[in-house]
Amino acid sequence: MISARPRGTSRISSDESILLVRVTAILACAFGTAVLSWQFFRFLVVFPSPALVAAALEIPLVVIGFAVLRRLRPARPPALAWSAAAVVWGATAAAGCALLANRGLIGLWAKGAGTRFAADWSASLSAPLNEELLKLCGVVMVVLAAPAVIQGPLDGLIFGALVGLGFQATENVTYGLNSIVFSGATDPARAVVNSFAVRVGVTALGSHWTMSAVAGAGVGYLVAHRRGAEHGSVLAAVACLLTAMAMHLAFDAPQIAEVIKVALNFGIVAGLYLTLTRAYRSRARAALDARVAAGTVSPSEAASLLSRRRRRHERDLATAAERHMVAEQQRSRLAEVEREVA
Amino acid sequence: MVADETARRAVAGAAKVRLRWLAIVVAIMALLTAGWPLLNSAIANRQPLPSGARITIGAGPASSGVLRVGHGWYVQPAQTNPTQQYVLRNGAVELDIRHVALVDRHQVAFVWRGMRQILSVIDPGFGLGEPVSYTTVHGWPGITGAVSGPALLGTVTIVPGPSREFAIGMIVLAPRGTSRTVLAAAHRIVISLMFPSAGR
Repeated sequence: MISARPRGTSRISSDESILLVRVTAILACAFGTAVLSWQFFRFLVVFPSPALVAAALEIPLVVIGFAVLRRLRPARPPALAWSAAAVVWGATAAAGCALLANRGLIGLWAKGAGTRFAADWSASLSAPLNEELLKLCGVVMVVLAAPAVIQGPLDGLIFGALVGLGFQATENVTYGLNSIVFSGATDPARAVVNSFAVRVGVTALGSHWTMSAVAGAGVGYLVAHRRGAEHGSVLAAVACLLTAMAMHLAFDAPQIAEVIKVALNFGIVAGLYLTLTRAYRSRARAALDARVAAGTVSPSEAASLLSRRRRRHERDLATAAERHMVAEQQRSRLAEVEREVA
Repeated sequence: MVADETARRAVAGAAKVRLRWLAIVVAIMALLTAGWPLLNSAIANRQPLPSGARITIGAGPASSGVLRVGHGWYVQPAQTNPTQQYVLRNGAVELDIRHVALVDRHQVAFVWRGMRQILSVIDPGFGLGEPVSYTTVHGWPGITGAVSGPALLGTVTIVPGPSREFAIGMIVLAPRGTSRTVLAAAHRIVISLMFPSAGR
């Protein structure tokens, strides 16, 4: 007996689809980790101390970067677990897949355009396509796995930056390990530290996190467009992705001074962040003014809601018994406003 | 009732959109991760070199080595980057030429130990013997020694550049039993090494 399925229903429920996304993300991260382990495991065996130094040097970068990037979101930081998931995606799934993808495409450039051309240009012509798309997939996966977490371009920018941070940390480690070979393994620890000094001391401010932040803002524009927000736009999403790719191309291109590359990328992401933050705050203030006019939010609450410091001050003013209730009310009101204006 | 049905359809629609985007993400990842390597492996990885061709390894004349290639050799472009590494083949013989950027001049003394470790990263089955002195036809001193693996035999030769801030490492590998004639062709390339910065 075949039972007819009502029109408009899916074979899979919303919860099941979210579970499927999460399982796929975990598998992708496991695959990326396996690729990286297969590629670099022998370094850990032959050069255990330098390999551990290469990894340990990245810990402060990740911890500080994680804290600073999450702090960039106005009003309150993004969800901790999903922020960590974004970093993990960048460090494993994106970095592992990029290793294979880049090797394939760089090989094609060398075969098609010659080894001399490939030596100069293959990285700048391969990485923007492969790495930006693979990192961007991480932001899209967060949207799919946790629908409420990325609501607009500013959220997308921050999650893109977090994915890029994870990717950057893994790439720094792999570059450090490869530098052991390029320097003939004569002083592995020094090779690792020198590589770290260049990649963190010189180029870190304009590296992967800036590019994927811009591309991630594009995903945010797409999400905003889909939920009908006025500032959502497919065109802006495409423009962000293309800008991120162009930033990456310039960053890897030969014959441009490092300081210019770093300043350019940092300038672009800083400009985009300031523009998005200003627009976000303006929409949030308008939304709060409307609530004050409607009498659903008091003027003092509206004045304090967008500021971490003022919210804390409001909680401090409350009695111990009320404090939990005030915090809960702030969270709920803020979530409501964020949904509207993100 | 109508509101319930509308809400149910919206949820079902969201699941459908989510699955569509998941399929797009998986397709992009698969295309990039498997597509490029597959396409790369489908294209021949060999570019013949004319007999007598000169190959330059390194970035800039001050940090480069030049070698002269004999008849029958081809370069494997997918593994080659003229600033860092050339992989040449002639039949079963492989010649891996590496540019080593030394951290400082005092590191020359450690290049053999370093090469032993690098070979161990490439394949733990490789063993590198003790080095003996070596001189190229242009009079550049270096060191050479035998390398052996489970199925391969060969030599490793390392010649520091005139500035002693870099060195050229050359690994000849061939299956056990490879004719001496073919191996000699590889060694003729190795011994031809010269440094343009020194003018000889």
